[in-house]
Amino acid sequence: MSNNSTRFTVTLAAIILTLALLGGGQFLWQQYAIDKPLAEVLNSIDGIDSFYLDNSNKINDTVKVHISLSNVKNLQKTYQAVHDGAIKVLGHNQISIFIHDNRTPELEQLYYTVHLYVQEGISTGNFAAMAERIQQKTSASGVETQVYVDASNVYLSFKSINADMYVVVPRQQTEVK
Amino acid sequence: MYTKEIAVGAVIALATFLFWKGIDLLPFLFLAAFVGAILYFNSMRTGGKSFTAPSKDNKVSLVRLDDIGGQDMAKNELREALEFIRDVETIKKLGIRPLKGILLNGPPGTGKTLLAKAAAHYTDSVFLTASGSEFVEMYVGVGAQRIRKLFNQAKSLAKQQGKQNAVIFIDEIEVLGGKRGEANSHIEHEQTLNELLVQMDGLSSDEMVRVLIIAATNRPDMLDAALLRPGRFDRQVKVDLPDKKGRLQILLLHTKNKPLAEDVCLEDIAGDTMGFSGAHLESLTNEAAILALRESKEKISSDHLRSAIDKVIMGEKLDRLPSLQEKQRIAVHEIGHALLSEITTPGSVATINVASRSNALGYVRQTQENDTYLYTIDQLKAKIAVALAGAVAEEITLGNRSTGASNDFKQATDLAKQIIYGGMSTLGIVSVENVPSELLHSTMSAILKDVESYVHNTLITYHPTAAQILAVLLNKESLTGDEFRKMLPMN
Repeated sequence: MSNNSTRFTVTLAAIILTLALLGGGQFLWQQYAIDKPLAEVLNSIDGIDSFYLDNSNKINDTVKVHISLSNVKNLQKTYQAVHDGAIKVLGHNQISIFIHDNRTPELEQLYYTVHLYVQEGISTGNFAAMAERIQQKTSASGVETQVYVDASNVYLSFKSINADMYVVVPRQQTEVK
Repeated sequence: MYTKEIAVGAVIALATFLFWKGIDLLPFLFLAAFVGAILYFNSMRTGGKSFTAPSKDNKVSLVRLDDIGGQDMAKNELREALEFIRDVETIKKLGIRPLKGILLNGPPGTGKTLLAKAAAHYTDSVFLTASGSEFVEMYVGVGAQRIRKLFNQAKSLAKQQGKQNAVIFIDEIEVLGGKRGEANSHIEHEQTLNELLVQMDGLSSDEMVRVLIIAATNRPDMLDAALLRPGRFDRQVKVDLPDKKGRLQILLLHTKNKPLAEDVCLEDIAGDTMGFSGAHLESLTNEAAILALRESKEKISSDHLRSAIDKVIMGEKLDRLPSLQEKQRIAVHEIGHALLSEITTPGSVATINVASRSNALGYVRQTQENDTYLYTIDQLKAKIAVALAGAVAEEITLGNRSTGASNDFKQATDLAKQIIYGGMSTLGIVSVENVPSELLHSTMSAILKDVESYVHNTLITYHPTAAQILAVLLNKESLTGDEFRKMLPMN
C-alpha cells in the first residue's frame, strides 16, 4: 500500500472512530442523564399520562416537553411541577411545554367563546371578574371549569362528561400554549 | 506515527458531529483562521521558513563528479574531503578529524554549485541548499534563527531518510560571512555569522548525522577570518576558469545530447574560448543549437559554434546600420587590428566582423593555441601594437582618427602600465605606489610612441593589402581567420 493511501485510510478510520465515540457518548448521555431522570420526575407528577422530549436532535435548540394530561386536579401545580422538574434535569431554561389532552370540538368552541374574557383579564388585571364571567358562561354549558392565575400564566381546565381540555395562557406573551 | 492524520480525522469528525448537532461553526472557523494567520505570519517573521531541500529522494543531486567537465584539481580536492565523510571508521584509525567545511571559491559560472550537488551524490547525503541572502531579514535575530533551523532541518531530514550524512550548501556565503566590525557590518549581521560559527564548531563526527558545509563565494577576500580558520572551513578549493583541456571536456559534456556536423572540431572551439567559464560554454553550445534551429539545419556546424562564440562574447547582432563612410572606417579600423595581430602572432585572427553587436561597432576576435598565463615584454608590446593598429590604420587610410579607438587606447595604456610595473621598462624595477605620475606618464608615452611608430611603419607596408581586404570585408561584413590569411602576401 502506498504511503498516501495509508494516510488516507488512517484519516478515514480516525473520522469513523471519532464519530462513533461522539455518537455513542451522546446516546448514553441522552439515556442516562436526561431520559431516565426526567421520567422519574414526570412520573411522580399528578395527572400526567405520558410524555416525550423533542429537541430535533440539536444541542442548542429549545427542548420541547410534550405531556399528555387527564384528570388533572390542579393545572397550575401540575404545570409548575413539570416546568421545575424539566429545568432541574435539563439544566437550562429553554424549555417549551406542550400539553396534549382529550379535547372535543365542543370544548374548543367553548374556549373560543371565553378566550376574550381571558385576554381582557390579562390586559386589565381584573382576574376576579374574568373568572366569574368564565364560570357563568361554562356552567351554562354543563362544563366544569377551573381558573388559576399566577405571575406567569393563566391556567384554564375544562371538564365535561367524557372529555377534558387544558389551556395555559401566558400573561406576558400573546402566544397560546 | 500518524499523529497528524489522526488529528485531522478527529477534527473533521468533531466538526461534522457539531454541525449535525446544530452548533454554528462559523465563529470557530473565523477564530481558527485568525489563529492560523497569526501563527503563519509569526513563522514568516521569525524565520520559520523552510530551506530548500531539492527533493526528498535527492533526485536533483543526480549530478556526478564525473559529469563535471574540467576542474580536475577542484574535483580531486573535493573527492578527498568527501572520502572522510564516507568512510569515517578508516580515518578514525589514523586519528584524522573529518572535515567540517569546504569553501569553493572562484569566478562566477565555474561550476561551484554543480560541485556541491555532485558532492551530495557522492556521499549519498541529504542535500540542503541556501544562499547567503536568505539569512538577511529586516528583523533582528532572524538570521541566527535560520542558521539553527537549517542545521536542525539537515539533521532531521537525514534521520527521516535514514542517511548518516547531510551536506549543507550555502551559496554566496560572503553575504553572511563578511568580516565583522567593518563599516558595512552591524550587530544582526554579526549575530548570524556567530551562530554559523557556533553551529560549525558544534559539529562532531560522533553525532548521529554528520553535517558537511560546502560554501561558495567569488569574494573570499571579504570573508571573516574566523570562518576560514581550520576546524571551520578546513579546505579551500579553488574553482578556477577552465583551461583548454577543461573547456574541451565541458564542451564534450554539453554537446553530448546535440548532433554535431562532421566539420566541428571541439578542440579548436576550446582554443577559441580562453576565459570562458563552464556557464559560458554551456551557453555557447546552446546558442549554437539555437542558430542551427533558426537555419532549419539538422546538425550544428562549425560556423554555428563560431557565431555562438561571437554572440556569447559580444551579444546579438544589432540592426544598427552605420552610414557607408562609418562602415568603411570601422572596416579600416578592424583590418588594422587584424593585420597587426596576424603579423605579431601568426594564426591568431579568428574572425573580423563589421556587423554591430552590443556596444561594439565591429570587432576582431583573436584566438591562441595555448592558454597563456605569463607575458614577455615582446608579447605585451605586440598586444599594444594590435590595440593601437585600429586608430593608426584609420589615420593612414582616411587621414584622421576617430573616437572609436578610445577603448583600444585604454587597453594599450593598461598594457603599458603592466610593462612598467613588471619592471620591464626603462625605469627598471619600480614601486607601484611610489612612481611619480609625471614619470609614469612620460614612460608610458614613450612605450606607446615607440609601438605606434612600429605599427605605422608596418601598416604603411601592408597598405595595398589592406585596401584589397577592405573591399572584400565591406562586401561580406565578416571574414574568418582563414579567409583573411589567404589574402595576406606572406601566404
